[in-house]
Amino acid sequence: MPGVRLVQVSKGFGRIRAVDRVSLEVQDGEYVCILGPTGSGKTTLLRLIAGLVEPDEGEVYIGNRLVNQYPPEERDAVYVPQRYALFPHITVLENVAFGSTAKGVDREEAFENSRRTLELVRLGWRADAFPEELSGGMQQRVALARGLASGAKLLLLDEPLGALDARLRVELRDKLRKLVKEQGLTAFHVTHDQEEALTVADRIIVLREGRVQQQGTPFHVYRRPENLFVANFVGGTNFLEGVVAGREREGSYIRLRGDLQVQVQDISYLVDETVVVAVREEKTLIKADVDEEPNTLSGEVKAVRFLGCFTRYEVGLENGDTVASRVPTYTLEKTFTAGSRVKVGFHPVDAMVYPYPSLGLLKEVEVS
Amino acid sequence: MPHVRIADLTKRYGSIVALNRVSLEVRDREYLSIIGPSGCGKTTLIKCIAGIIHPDEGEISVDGRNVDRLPIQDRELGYVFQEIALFPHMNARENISYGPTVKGWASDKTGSIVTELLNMIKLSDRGNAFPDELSGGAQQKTAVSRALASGSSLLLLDEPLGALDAKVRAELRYELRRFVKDLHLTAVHVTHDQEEAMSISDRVVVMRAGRIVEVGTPMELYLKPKEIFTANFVGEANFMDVEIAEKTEEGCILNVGGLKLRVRSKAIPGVERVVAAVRPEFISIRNHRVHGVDDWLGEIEGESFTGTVTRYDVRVTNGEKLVVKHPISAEEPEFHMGDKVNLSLPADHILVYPYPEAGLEKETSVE
Amino acid sequence: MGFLDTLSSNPNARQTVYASAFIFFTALILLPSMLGIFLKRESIGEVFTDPALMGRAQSAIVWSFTVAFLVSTLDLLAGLPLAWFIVRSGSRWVNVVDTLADIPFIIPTAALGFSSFLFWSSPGGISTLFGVEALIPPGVILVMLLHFAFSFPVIVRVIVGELLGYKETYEIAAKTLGAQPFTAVRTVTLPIIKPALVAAFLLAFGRSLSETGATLMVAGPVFENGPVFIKKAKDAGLEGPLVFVSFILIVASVLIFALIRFLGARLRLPTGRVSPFLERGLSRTRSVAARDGVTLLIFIIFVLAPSLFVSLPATYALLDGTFTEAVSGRGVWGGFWQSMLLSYGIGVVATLINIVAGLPVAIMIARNKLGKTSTTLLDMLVNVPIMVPSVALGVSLSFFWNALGSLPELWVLILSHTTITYTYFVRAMAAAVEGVSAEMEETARTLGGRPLTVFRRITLPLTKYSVFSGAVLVFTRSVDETGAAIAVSRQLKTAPVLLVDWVKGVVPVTASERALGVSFLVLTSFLSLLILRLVIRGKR
Repeated sequence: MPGVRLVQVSKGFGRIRAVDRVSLEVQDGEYVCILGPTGSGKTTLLRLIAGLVEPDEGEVYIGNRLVNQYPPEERDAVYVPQRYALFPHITVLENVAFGSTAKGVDREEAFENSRRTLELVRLGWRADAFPEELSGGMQQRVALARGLASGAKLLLLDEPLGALDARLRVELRDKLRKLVKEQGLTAFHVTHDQEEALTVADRIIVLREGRVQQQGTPFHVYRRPENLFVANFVGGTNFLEGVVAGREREGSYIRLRGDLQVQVQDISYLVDETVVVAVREEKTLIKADVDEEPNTLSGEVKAVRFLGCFTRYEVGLENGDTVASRVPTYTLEKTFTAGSRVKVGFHPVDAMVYPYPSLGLLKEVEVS
Repeated sequence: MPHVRIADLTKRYGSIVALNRVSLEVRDREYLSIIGPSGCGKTTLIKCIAGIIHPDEGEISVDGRNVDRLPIQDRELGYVFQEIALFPHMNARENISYGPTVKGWASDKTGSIVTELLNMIKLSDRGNAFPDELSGGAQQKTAVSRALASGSSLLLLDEPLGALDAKVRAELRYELRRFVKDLHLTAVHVTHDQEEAMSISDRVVVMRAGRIVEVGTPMELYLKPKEIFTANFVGEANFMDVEIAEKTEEGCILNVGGLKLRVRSKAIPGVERVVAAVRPEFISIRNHRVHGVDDWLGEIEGESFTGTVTRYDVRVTNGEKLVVKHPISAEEPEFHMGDKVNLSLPADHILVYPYPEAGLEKETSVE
Repeated sequence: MGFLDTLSSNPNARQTVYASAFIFFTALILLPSMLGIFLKRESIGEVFTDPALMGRAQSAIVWSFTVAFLVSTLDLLAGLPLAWFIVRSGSRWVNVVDTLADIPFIIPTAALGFSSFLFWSSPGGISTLFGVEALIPPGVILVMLLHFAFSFPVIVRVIVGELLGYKETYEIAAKTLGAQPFTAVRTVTLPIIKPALVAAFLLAFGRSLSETGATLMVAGPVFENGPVFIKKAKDAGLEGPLVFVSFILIVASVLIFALIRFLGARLRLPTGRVSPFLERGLSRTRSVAARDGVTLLIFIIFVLAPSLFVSLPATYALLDGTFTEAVSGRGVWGGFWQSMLLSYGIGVVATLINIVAGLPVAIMIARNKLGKTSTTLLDMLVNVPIMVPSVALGVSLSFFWNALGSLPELWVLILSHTTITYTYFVRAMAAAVEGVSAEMEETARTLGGRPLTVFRRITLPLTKYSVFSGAVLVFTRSVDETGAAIAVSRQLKTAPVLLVDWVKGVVPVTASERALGVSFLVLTSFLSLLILRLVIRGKR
């Protein structure tokens, strides 16, 4: 049974279309991440579902009920903004109990329930504190508990981890998902951090300028990005411009800048079409030896970035293009230094091919 | 001669000690990052260098000169704020020209420097735009240029990328380093994002609760951290509460709940109760039928996909729960929930520490 | 309560509340203020037939605006350094100065007028130091000194408020770039707080245009500005000139306000050349100390001393038996206490009406309920009552209500006091509601709270100090009001209006009685504002 369904929902502010004909369907109990850059309409989408803004067109269904005419307090969907919006003038316990007391539940009962919810997030011992006395991470947990205790079935989380330190974010995101799943709730989790989305989501919806770019499981969105934007936004990707030079049953040959040639498995493009070849950084292999394998390009290491788990090499190819190669640190047989001459390559099966965008490559993948 | 020398810096706010006898040397032309959880004192430290905050005790010298008495405006350094703080009533060009203008530079000299900087940050056609008309990334680049326009050789950055999207941060941080290196500057960069620090710094300082925990190159901190806190804060680690069963020539053998773990390391503590730490990506994971010597048998209790690797939560037969990061090779994730697998923990990559007095949970807390 | 809460979820119910408040505003506040004059437009012809009268009328109008402009500029120049001192100096005298700076605000302008007169123009005041009978006799200079004094705290308050909310990061950024403190303030801070400076200027400007009672006390026989002229015309029964001047004042005020607003936003403060050497010198501690010294001196001589001076003769009055007479209510005091009662009664009623009728409008503005353009329009309309000189407003109101069929004088008085103070309450409330993030209310709604529930449990508790201070502001302003009261008044006299008569000799009283009467008025105002202070301090 669908938990939430949107049908061709649009919302504009002045001349800007914040949300543009978005349709989606989310099952009951799913943890969905809405992923996109700032200004892509993610927050507006959340607020449309919450009932805090009215759509210009389209329908919003929550649990099979058309809710367009329902005010926020009757939708059973809790909105948790990025800065939590904890009520500063009342205690943590009263904050958490608000959802119940506002609906007329007996005070004692509401407090009982709230204490139990606070235990779930391990903050029972701070029930009588005021929000400003708590750290950022604790405030986040209180905001979550407040949403849970209200009895709502749908959680709308707007960058729930955005206000926290990087390290804390990594620690708390799993706990967040676990808690939501244990309570059997449906959640929309908005974020601009693709790593976060990939880690916690059952399904990801990629948004850009108000429009859905792709929907699918993390695995699917990562492995099969449907367009250049998704290929660039989710994960680290190298892009090489080229023209289709030849086409056979097993694959196509693409001629890159400077007459370099590579082979790909995709045969959906015709000869002489301009295309973009996209290869993930971790699928771009780097070696010192001369290699006879297909798709080997020569270049010079421009920069070495140590990222902990991975080391990232920025390589300037002989034709002027730049690519990056990610190598797991522990498999490093040999480290390359800036200035070394190297060979980079990829397997044809790892290459994704897209039509060359009319606005140009840079504009198409632009994030800021 | 170090560009900046900090000696025994202390700063208190009531009963809270924000900086506790911090000493540090910043080398000439190095890119130094300071990382640590909120409240560790890293921002207070950088503000003391700039003169925005006055320390209660200690000394700061820049280029050999003691600067404690100098007010902010006479310290001749560039500062980039977390909130960016571009002057809203001036356009990009005027913002960048501000430093030279208040110092009384000739207008044509100022003009050419500003043009050069705008070119460098690729905003030459946006010189007349006001801050609220620029994107977050463009605003930050403008702020950096503004800080550098009057030619200071020391650049202080206070969470410069904090206000930006993850993707933009990841791109802009390399530009920052390039800037600094091309102009031969010294940079001190404060951030809570350890991946950011590691990817662009020559050295990284780890702080916690007003003290410096450890200083080292990114590789040193990642592969051979000297403190448990560093091991947990910089990257992820599995921690096991274990005992030393036997000391060997190359290191030791640990007893982990009945299973043996061989360690090849020179830094073995003298005590019996220790903590063993190993990073998730160093553990190899194989099908349970392929068995190697010293392998541990376990069952997969959780899996999640993170794009480049799959994270597995593995419950080992000795009761330990380990996180393993496994690169994705094939189309589908290799292992699934409930699968029985063999884990191999490489002897070279196991870190051993004495069991901390405060307890393991407190010692590794990042809050 | 439960029923009302549920009702509030109904958008129609909410619209009704907002619409009613809006209709109240338009029908009872805005229109009567503007239309009354319009109804009497024919009588304007009287003025055109009499060149001498026309000349006087024109000159009065010009004087009104000239004095307002000069005084506001001087207030800004003198008030900015004092506001700066209060917020930034960190000196231990700051709290004292902060409190003292409010004093002219606390003292009703009628009292201030009398006190200024005593200080500058009477043998008992500063004039003795110079060996003359009246250092500054009643006339245009004294009027300017008076206006300077009572607008001063307004400017200081606005700028202090702005500076407290100002992000010092901008200034620090300027300093890291090498700017001396003086330069940083001149080139960065001042341009950024410019809107507040313009707002402060306009408030002072409006006050100067409006003030009637005190100006009457110190105008002397010759000087005439708008309000003085109107009073004289009213006393002489000349309706034409009355309507003419009121009309011009209303129209010109609205235009000039809009003009200053518009220009002010576009005005780029001259940043000029930066001379590092000079500005370093100006930033030095000694220069700052000198500047602070001069600022404080100006404040004490031109604002504080004239304001407090009436306490001297009042103290004598305590000793010479006038006090016991006053308390007993004999003689002139009977009428005095009646007037006090009237003033305070009107104050309470006006405050209550403004709270009930003004709250929905404040929310409409703060939460942009009508969409951007309409809300801006509403915002501007709400400002009309304070843009227009209260005496002109009073004139218009009394014409309007009399034309509709006689409304008892008491009600016209109540309505005029409500009109004058409406803007203050709505402004204060709107700012307070804006301070409560909309996000907080929205989150509370999604948690299941109905609009009224959210308002009661979230918005109101977080703004209650503003509601309270808004109410006290309205109350004291109402008690203070002379302009509209004088215009409307026939039989009933509010306290300040009565005191003007006492000072001008219309009612024969002794010097002691005068001083004491004024002091009673001051005392009661002082008490109410003291309570406000304590409550607000308690919150901080």
